[in-house]
Amino acid sequence: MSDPTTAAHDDCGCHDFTTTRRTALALGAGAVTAMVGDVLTQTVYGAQPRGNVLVVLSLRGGADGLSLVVPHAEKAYYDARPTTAIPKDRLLHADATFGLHPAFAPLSPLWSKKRLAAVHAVGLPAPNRSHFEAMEVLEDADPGSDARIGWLNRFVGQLRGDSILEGVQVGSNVVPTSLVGPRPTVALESPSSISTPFAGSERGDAVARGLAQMYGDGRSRVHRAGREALELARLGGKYSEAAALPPQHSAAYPGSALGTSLRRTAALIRAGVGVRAVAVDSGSWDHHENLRGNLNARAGDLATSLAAFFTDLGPDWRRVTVVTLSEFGRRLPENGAAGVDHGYGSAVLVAGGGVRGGRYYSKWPTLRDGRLESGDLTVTTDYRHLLMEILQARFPGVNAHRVFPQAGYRRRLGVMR
Amino acid sequence: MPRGFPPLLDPADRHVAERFSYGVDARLADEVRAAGGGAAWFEVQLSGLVVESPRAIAVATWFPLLDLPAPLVRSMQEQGQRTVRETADELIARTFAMRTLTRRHVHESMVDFWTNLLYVPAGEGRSWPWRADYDRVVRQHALGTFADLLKATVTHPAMTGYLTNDLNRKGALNENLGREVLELHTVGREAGYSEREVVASSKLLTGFTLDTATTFRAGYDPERHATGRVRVLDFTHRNADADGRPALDAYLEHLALHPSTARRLARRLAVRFVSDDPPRGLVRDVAKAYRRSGSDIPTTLRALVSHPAFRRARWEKTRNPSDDVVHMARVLGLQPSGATDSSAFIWYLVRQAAAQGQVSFRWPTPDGWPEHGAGYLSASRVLRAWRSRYDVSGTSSPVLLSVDVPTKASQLPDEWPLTLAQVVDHQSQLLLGRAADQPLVRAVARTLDVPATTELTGPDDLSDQHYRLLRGTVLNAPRGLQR
Repeated sequence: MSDPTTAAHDDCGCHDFTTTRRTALALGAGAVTAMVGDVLTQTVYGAQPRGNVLVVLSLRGGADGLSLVVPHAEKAYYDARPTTAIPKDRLLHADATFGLHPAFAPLSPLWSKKRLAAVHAVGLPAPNRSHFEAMEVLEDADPGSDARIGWLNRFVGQLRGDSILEGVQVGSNVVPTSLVGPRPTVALESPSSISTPFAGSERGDAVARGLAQMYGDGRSRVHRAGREALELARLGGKYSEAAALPPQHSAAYPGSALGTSLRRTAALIRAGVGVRAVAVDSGSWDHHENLRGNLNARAGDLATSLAAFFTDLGPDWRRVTVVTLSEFGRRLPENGAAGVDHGYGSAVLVAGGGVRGGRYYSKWPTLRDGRLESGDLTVTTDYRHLLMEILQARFPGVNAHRVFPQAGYRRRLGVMR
Repeated sequence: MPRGFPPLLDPADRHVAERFSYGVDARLADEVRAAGGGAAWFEVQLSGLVVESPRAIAVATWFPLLDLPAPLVRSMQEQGQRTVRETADELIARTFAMRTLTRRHVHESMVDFWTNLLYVPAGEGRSWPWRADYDRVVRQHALGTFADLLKATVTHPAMTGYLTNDLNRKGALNENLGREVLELHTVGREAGYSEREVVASSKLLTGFTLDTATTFRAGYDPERHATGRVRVLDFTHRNADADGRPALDAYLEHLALHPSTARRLARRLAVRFVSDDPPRGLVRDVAKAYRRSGSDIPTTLRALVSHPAFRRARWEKTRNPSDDVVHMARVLGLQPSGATDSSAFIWYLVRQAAAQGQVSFRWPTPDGWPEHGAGYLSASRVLRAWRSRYDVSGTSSPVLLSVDVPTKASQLPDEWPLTLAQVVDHQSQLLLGRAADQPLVRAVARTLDVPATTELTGPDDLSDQHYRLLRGTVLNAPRGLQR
């Protein structure tokens, strides 16, 4: 089995796994290591059950990057948003140009430890103010093709692992566009009931054999789904067991949908079932009204959930990289309802393994009149280029140009080590 | 075929009923036969003359608070008598009950289709007290013209609240609804409108009011209407009157009959009722029928059902979870009889759809649930569907409460002895509408751990446990997820 990330390249950040294992053992991180070790010995799927992991957090609805990462040096920002602009003195970790939304306080330790970075003026290569079309473009990410294959599917397809859980959507049972494609992927709303009927009872084996009989051959999409289900059932127990344990290292997740999804993501990563790419949805960023209150709540939930996630991962944080994505940013000016309508450029957070954090990255276009796109923040970093930079740093065996065909990637921003 | 077996419907006749009902049970098969075939049955269904089943009529009495006026629904919630979630869930459960019990199959299927196109989730914060009334309005127009349906839904207080059109007013436009009317409800992005036209669309929609803070009373205030000439695609209007509603009606009428709307609706209908990837010729022909008839829904559906591409698409669609749980109940003959508490079977169906990842009205965004079927075939969904079939395929189980369960004898052949293989064949015809294939017979034999050639002398030779495993396994055949 050839998993590209097992290749040892000294000049890349891809051997974090080894470091982590050594660190964990050296520290004698008792129960955790023992538990993970036990799971490891049972794992037969995946050549590299503890390889690097990419977690893509979708801020669906179009997150207002100008509130999340505030360009406080821009008078235009304060002029355009008389009731919703965030004063400079309330921002966190402000530098000369940017500062973080105050609700990001729970992420402060990650920023200080340089494990969290922010990138601004990121987005689609061309403006598209339709949620649904922009989302499709964002997640399909192959402008030259009519085939419905998402970029995460192309990515996972290149890993050539054999775990059905290599590419997973957590928190929903519907596979998102990014994961759709020829490589089987799984959408897992919850860790319960992922076993065949009567599993564990005396009937269980006979029923599973009966199902295998019916779904074993046959080329239809339904037959294929049945075979994937049988394979998932073989691995599902390990995930369910890991998810049944409380979060590790006293991590405190909020009870929100996002908190729950990230708690399950951490369990999935810990379970050693070969997961490499996780898509997590964090919906409702479509703030046409009451931007201040709505965004405050969303950003707070995001920060608390993400902080808990990294606490929960413990030393495993080194092999997990999280990136947030949204289909577009919002208009620069407020609308009549103290909200903001659909805009263009937005901000992205990158956290975890391999990130050169504690700073802002941007080819900042400014908010000056001549630099705006139809009155909104423009895009100077194609989101695909940022993702390619992350993939190249974390998954050196993967050809990022095949994940994002025709993306025309040239120069790194330097976000990743 | 041994005697005592249900006569199979002609495959082409069955196909029409498969696509335009929530499950072909023995009764529906008889109705198709009595009508003289699939096409004739479809005409009867479109005529509006189908007498509703008494059980379906009784469903309204299960949820007596659902149809109260919106301001009253709101005040009950404010006084702590009912939560938003309860109100939303009851609408979902009532809808599932109607789908299970109705005899107006085509009407119910179209209510579902339009509700998912002109989409307002249940329990959304700015629209929820009006959501049940929105359902009533969709039901009223589901087999009328799309132009009337569009006008009734876009101006409905539920849509006003959901897409923040109450905040869209003269001097402070809010583009939310103005954009989605174009993109999602009618012409679609392919029509090529500009951002300026989105603004014009929003302007026409100004004037509607909704008090989302306290009473949820809805109205129209000409003071808030933005007047002045507008142009959207090939529609122009002086929009000079303070009351903008006549201008808005003209605009929506225009959009409803626009060629791009015809194409978009034709394609969406084809994806829902024909195949995930419908042929272009079909879409073209259905769009033509739609335009020529002035958006008449029955005429449009006739063009779809009589098309050769429709007939060729047998078993090409897979059911989404909400459809599938109802289908399971229908073919097993399970008739919900009430919803007194959360242990009732109808609530089990809603919970199952949730566990399988798709509950009608719970999609969060204005584009509605995806219409293609294959996206719902996640491995986790399939596992949960398999488990669920065994939960409900016996004569008794903890989830079979507040539901009439048919007796074992009534679901098995009249004449015996029969081999196990023959009984499997009988159940396959009853539940799946086709003869059993070899993998299915072998799967049942393995599951029961007895040879397929075992002779059975009557229903009593099949233990309750074997009866349950047999029916569950038949429904779990790959064909059980297809229609």
